Amino acid sequence: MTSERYSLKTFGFTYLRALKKYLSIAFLICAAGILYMNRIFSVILQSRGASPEVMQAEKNARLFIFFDNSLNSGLTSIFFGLTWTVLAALLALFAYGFMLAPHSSNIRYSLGISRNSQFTARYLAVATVGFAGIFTSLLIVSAANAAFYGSSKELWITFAFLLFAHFTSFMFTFTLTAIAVVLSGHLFEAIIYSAVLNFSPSLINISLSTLLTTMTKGSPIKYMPLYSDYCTYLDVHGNILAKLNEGLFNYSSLLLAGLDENVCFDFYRGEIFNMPDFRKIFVAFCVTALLAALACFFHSRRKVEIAGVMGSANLLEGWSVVTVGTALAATMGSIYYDLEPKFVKLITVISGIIIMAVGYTVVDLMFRRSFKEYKKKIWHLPLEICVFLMIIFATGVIMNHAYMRIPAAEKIASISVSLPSNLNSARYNNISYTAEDEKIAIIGILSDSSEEKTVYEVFETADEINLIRSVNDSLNKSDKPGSLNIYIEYKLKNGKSVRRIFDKARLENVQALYPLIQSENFHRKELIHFNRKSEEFYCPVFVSPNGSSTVIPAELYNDEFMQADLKKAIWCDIRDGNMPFFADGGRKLLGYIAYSEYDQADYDDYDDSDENEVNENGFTKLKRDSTVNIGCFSDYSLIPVYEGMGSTLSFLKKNGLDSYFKDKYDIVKISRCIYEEGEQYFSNNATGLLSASIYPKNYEFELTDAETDTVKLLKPGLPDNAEVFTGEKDIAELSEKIRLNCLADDDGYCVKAEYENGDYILAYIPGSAAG
Amino acid sequence: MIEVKNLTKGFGGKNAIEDISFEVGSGSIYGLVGFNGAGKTTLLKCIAGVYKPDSGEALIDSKNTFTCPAIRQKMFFAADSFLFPESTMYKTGKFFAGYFPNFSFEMLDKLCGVFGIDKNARLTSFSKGMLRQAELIAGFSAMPEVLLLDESFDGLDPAKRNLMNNLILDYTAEKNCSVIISSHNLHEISDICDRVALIDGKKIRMDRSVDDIGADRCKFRLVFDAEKNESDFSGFNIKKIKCEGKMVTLSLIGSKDENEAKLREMNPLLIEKFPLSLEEIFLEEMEGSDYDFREIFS
Repeated sequence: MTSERYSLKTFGFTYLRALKKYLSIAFLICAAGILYMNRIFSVILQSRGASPEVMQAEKNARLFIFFDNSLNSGLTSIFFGLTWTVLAALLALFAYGFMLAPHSSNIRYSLGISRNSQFTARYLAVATVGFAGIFTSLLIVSAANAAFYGSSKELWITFAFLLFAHFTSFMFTFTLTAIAVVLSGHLFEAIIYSAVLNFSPSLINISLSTLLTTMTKGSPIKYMPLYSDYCTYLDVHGNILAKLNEGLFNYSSLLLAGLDENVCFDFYRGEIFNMPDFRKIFVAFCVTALLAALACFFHSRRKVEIAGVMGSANLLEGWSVVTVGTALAATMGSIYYDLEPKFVKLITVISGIIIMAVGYTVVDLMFRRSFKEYKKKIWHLPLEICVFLMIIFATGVIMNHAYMRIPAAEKIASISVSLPSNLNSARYNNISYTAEDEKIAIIGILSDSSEEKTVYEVFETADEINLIRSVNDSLNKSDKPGSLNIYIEYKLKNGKSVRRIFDKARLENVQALYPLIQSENFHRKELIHFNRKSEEFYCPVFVSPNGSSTVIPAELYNDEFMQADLKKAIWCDIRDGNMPFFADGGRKLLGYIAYSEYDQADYDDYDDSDENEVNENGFTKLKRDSTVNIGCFSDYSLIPVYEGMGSTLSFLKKNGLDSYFKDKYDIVKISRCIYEEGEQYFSNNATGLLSASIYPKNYEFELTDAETDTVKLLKPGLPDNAEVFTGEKDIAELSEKIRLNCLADDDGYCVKAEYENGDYILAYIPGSAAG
Repeated sequence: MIEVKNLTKGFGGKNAIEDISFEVGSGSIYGLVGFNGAGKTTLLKCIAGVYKPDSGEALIDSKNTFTCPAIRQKMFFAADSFLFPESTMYKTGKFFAGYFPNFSFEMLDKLCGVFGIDKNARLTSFSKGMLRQAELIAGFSAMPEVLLLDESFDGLDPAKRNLMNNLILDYTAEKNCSVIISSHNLHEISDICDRVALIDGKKIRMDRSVDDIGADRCKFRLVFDAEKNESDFSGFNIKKIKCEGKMVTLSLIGSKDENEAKLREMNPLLIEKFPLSLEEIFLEEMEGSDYDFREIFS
């Protein structure tokens, strides 16, 4: 028999023997898969369930266990996802565990089969088992779906995608565990290092993402405190990590979880089929194949004599200390993210060195169990610290330098800037409300931190580009941390884009962007924005300046033409520049017109629907004004109406609507203190925009005393040394200056205005209005 | 034919075997003798292709056993523990049949019958001696051209040991097989081996055919009329000497007759000549490497 033929025979024998041995595990994989998959496929059902017939069929299908979503909710889903990961890791321990015991490795390695064949035959056997289990489970679920709801192209594309993705994920876990086994001498060591290797993609992702945000300025990755939902942001910002994210990084927790979104999320919303991205999985597959080749190489060079001996896996020990240590050091830096950048860097480096020294000692003594050996190998520690410092250098110096580059003006086609919502909020302020005891408690919340509400504006003129570049430059040079976010995206003429995110911008950086929104160009865009938005608006609510009165005038509600005219009037004021750009203390605020995407009449707090008429078109006609409990809504666009907004005011006056801005009750007392003293009594000042809170007279909030762990009930208010005004003249003068929101400035005041009925408002008088 | 050329293998910076060379011809049985930890198993594992030598090479039919896995189909390595304790003899045979092209189930059945081993019984129920027998049965059934036996006689009763000796001798003669046996049992080694090598922790101290092993050594017991000490025998090549007053026991290297003639010149009252057993040669060669137990509790 030739050696080639013989090699093939022994390879085939090893493959078939392993396959036979692990075939039973394919059934477990299949069973877990069927239960796990059903959730994904149930979503597909819903996507196609537009017609009542299909919906009915879907309901019927729920009787069928494979389509019962309740089986896969929450922890159950995680359990089944985890089952595959654990099975893949266990298979690696079964397949290659022989090399961890001296007696079995003696026999195996004396057989007439090469090490590469020995490794590859087992690898392929497990791949076959995994593929068979996953394929079968998917096929069963797909076939069941097809039987109940009909076959479709989308279903089979999804089938192919899920098969490819899950198989890759399964083999990725298996391969990493195989590497851990091949490099380890003892089973305990192999299990520990397998866990570290399997978490390594996530650890690397966390480390790099955190370091890029804490050690650099303007990195394209948004800072996420303590790892919360990194992937969402990585994906949103489209950086290189995100491109590998689902396939390579977080493969187990997020690749699998992400499958829903990849394939089905749009389905769930009744949207069109979203073609899954096979490329990411292909990248992951290639990475897995490369890792398998690496494992095979390690196996060919493995020293058999380490079998059964702990502490011989130097490479894995070093890897574990560096990856875990760097992730923990990056975390330490992120905890102190609000400090000045140089302190953040210092904390990261010092904590990293300490963590690695402690980690190395613990791991080394745990495995080697010999202080003498520890001392002998102590030179590994400075080597590992060097690797850590190189990572810090790569992110904190090289990447920081890269992110501080500003594209040359002549190369820029346009720039998108996220204007923090406080710039826009003077016009379209998003406010949420809560109602208590029929009294309206209004707590204004600025949604600066919300990604979706951050408006990106595009600027193209040379002046605008230069202004933004200079702001970017000042952000690069600024060492004092702030709390505002500015996102800048340069679209270059060569088609590429450069993104810079500054999470620690200061108010002066934001203020430097104000000229942008004062341009004609910006006005034009604002109009388009308002027009588009206003199509979604229902009848507006008139809100008094202090928020205590919220009314839908019956005549406006009943007349769609009048509503359209009002929008047109507001539109004209924006066009003509009559609406101030932000809270303008120099002009009197008359009140707000609040637009919501909901029909306010549906939430009318005065339930007299019997009094109203419904015409033949189903349209409700209000008999009288409706007081709206706007606490029911969470998303309002609040348009401030100032003196000087000629078009809007003339419309209101012409139609007798101007009176709706007036308060129900008179202010009887005003307390005032300078902003700095009152700041602690107010919330939402971090964004630089102050917003008022209006409370019913009995309002109290809970405050936990950390020392005594008791809960105190406190009434919102001002410090005891606040100035108090009760005279009619003073009150009239001051109440005209009170604003529900304005930009924070040091010259302004915090104000408590109390009404005759006991309600009160905590609001502001901006410095510019205080005089 | 097995060739071992300048083989060195170390662990943790210390060499277990160093620069070892020898050859084992076809149809020859080679015995490896040495104290515990002398490097016998390391040497066998290097020859079997389990360990990668630090330097040197082990060849079977001129092919390197580590780098040429196909050559290992001709070789069976009976290590000091068995492969599948949870399996049966028959299943173990099926496993080896996948890697040894000449594996004979007929031989397996025969040998199981000879040793009285149930081929379908789980190996976990076997005693240590039975496991040894099972291991050797598997080895013979694989019909190898090279057989490496690592202390394979341990745990065998005298009858089975004798049977095994005969089997090894017959198999070697019939199949022209090269066999290397490592053992502490010096009697067996001297009974069945053609050559014996004494390994002392790093190197081979002695490598001779069994016939020649005692040719240049002889033990004498002498009685003199007066007390003698070691200096009185300075003209001899002494391996070991024990002076107890007028009685002297000594082991000499060199021609037996010449040594006897020289001793008679010293006019002993009595002179007795004994051939040295392999065990005695082993102990003499290993002298100085062990504690003198009499000194431990003194």
